[in-house]
Amino acid sequence: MINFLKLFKLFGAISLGLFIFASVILVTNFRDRLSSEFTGGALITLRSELSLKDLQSEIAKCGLENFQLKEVLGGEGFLLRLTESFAEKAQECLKDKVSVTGSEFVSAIISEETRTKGLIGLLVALGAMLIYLSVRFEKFFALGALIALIHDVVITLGFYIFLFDRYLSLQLLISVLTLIGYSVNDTIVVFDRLREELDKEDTVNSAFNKALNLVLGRCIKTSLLTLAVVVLLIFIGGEGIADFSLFFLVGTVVGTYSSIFVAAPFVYSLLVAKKKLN
Amino acid sequence: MDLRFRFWVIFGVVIFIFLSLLPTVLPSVFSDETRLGKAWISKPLKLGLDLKGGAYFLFEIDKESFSKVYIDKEIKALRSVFNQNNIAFSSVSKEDKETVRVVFLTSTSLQRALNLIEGLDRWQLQARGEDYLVIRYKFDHFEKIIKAAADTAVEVIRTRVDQFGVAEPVIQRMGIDKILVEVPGVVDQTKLKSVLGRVAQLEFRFLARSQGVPTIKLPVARTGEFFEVEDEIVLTGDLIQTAAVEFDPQHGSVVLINFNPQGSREFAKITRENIGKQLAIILDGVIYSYPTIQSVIAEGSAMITGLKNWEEAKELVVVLRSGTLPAPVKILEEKIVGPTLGKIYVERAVYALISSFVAVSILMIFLYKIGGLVASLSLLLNLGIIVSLLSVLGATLTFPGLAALALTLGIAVDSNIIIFERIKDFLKSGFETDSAIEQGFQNAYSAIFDANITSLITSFIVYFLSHGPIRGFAVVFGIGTIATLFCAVFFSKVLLSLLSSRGKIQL
Repeated sequence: MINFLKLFKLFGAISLGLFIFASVILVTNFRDRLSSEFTGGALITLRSELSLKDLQSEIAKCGLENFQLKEVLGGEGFLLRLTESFAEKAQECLKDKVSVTGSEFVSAIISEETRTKGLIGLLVALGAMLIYLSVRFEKFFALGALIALIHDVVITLGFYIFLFDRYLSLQLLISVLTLIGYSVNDTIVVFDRLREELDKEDTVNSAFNKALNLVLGRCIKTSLLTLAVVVLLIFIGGEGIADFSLFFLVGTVVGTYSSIFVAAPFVYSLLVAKKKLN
Repeated sequence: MDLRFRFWVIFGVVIFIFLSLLPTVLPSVFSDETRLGKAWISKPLKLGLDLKGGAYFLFEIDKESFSKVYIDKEIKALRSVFNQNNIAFSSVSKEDKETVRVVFLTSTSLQRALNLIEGLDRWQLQARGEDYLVIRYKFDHFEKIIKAAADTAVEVIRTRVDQFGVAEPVIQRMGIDKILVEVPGVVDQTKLKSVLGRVAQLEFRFLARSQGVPTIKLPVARTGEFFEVEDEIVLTGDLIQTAAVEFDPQHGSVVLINFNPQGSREFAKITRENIGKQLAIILDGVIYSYPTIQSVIAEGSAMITGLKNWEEAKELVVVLRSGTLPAPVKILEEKIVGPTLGKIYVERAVYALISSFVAVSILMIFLYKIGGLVASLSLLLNLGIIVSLLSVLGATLTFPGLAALALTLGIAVDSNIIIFERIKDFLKSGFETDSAIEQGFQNAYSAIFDANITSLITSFIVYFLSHGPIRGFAVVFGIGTIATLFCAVFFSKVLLSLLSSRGKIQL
């Protein structure tokens, strides 16, 4: 048996450190990394015989400002991001050197609408989730699930930005939704075991230790399976779903970790504090 | 419920999946045109543009310029209503884009006009004086006409897209003033864009000649000059019956248009009353020609000259034949997914799906032996239920849908792992296989129910409160969660019990 209670403080400190680090990364990079789907502008996918560097200087020769060029995952081509007014000029100027495989123009107006509506829907859904969890569990558990959720989203986004040189796209937004689903599912499974052992065991300490030991096997197996799928998605899925697979490379680990080392300790400390008050 | 009944339930579900997936497998037999296809429980599963490639546009009616044109029409209508009712007025003029001022000659005329206006559904009185009335659109009138304009635009754009001959384009109104166009497959993007978004607003105005008449300046095609024309539009292109490209020795490629009977009458009247004046033929705010009216034109035809070449003339005919957009449109969003990229998307996603399934099956069988096999079958059934429900709903599978699919299948595997771990625990503490399975499921229920019901609640709320891609995610997530509950809890248990009743099984 692992004594989880002893590990709580250590992992609590680690989580806090990671959270602060990820928040800083997120806050400082968020604006620059938003894809044209959110900010408005043009995104051109193209293929070329040229290397990234050569292509970069070719584009610079066209007199374009504020462009960003990235190689897509698997080296199949490039992504060129620039303001809308330069899009046509770029295509005209690069005509001989590249073949354009796709282009998107998005105005920011519509993306703001998508953003606000999505956000409202998400917040209301989270509220309903909290209500459901406080009915089925104790209200501390609902709070714990929320904390774990925020922890997962912030750390995963932060590390995604830190590790991968990619834009925050619509696909990434969908990936965040998916992570929320994954994280909540994982947390509830752990909570269910805690609920069960709290009923059986005499002390909160032994209940937590026993429950976490019992659920550990499941957590490891589930996350390893998910990770295996994510690795396959990265290698086989290619650029088309790269935002999703890369995001989940981080998300799977963080999501599983947080159920045991963030959500559970949080609930534990609240339960202990409550006992002391009584 | 005894085991046999449960078995038949599962059998029924499998039959249902088989039947509802038939259209997806044999799309030609079950297409919308056949009687079978119309009556069938499901439609072929459509792939979204983000997976299959094609062009996507979101247009918005330009309300500002629409309102300017529309108020002119309303003023014209008011004048003719007043004339018909012998109401003496000296002027009808616009105050702003929703308000009109009418000055009357007699107070009885004013009173009669007031009664008349109250009977019309669109005007309300804003102010009145001794000899004038200021009237304004009723509060919802403008929204109504914008909506109607968007609906007309949808029809016009549909006729234009149809001329490209692509399969299954999607053209629909979104909200009040937006039009969504999805054209799958390979198309000439630039041409598509210029044809779809072109207003093809044909107007006839007189060149400005006397003082005191409000005028505007418009560019002349291919010369860079600007001419002053009268603000008032004497005739519009919506009265056109036919349009054709012709070659004129003097002007090169020209478009010959014929008015419908009403248009012919109006054109005859205008030409009769204005002999000697110059009539500008204006297309989308550009003057193409400005012939002098020599004589009455009774046969109702006119020629648009000043075009660049045969190509431009042909394009113009396409748009004129499909009708005028009721208002200029702005492109809000434009997305072109290259067809090769789209094809790779789909192929790779399918490969990724198959290989993930194989990998998960191998790992599960490695971990739980027979149990792993049951889990794999359960996963397959889960996938089948989701896809068949989507095709029954006639939904379109997009990337967000695929993401939600991956999530629910992940959660389904997790549910199986939770159950098997429990069963293993009971086996370890000395339970018989049968009762270990029974107990394992019993103890795993609460976790699976709470997790999946939370998913269900959140997906319902997100579905109703959001739109677009996020909504697509919620649909599949909701359906997938229901399928997971059925497969992980019901199907897996029936299969495991069935197997264990036939002999000892190992987990």
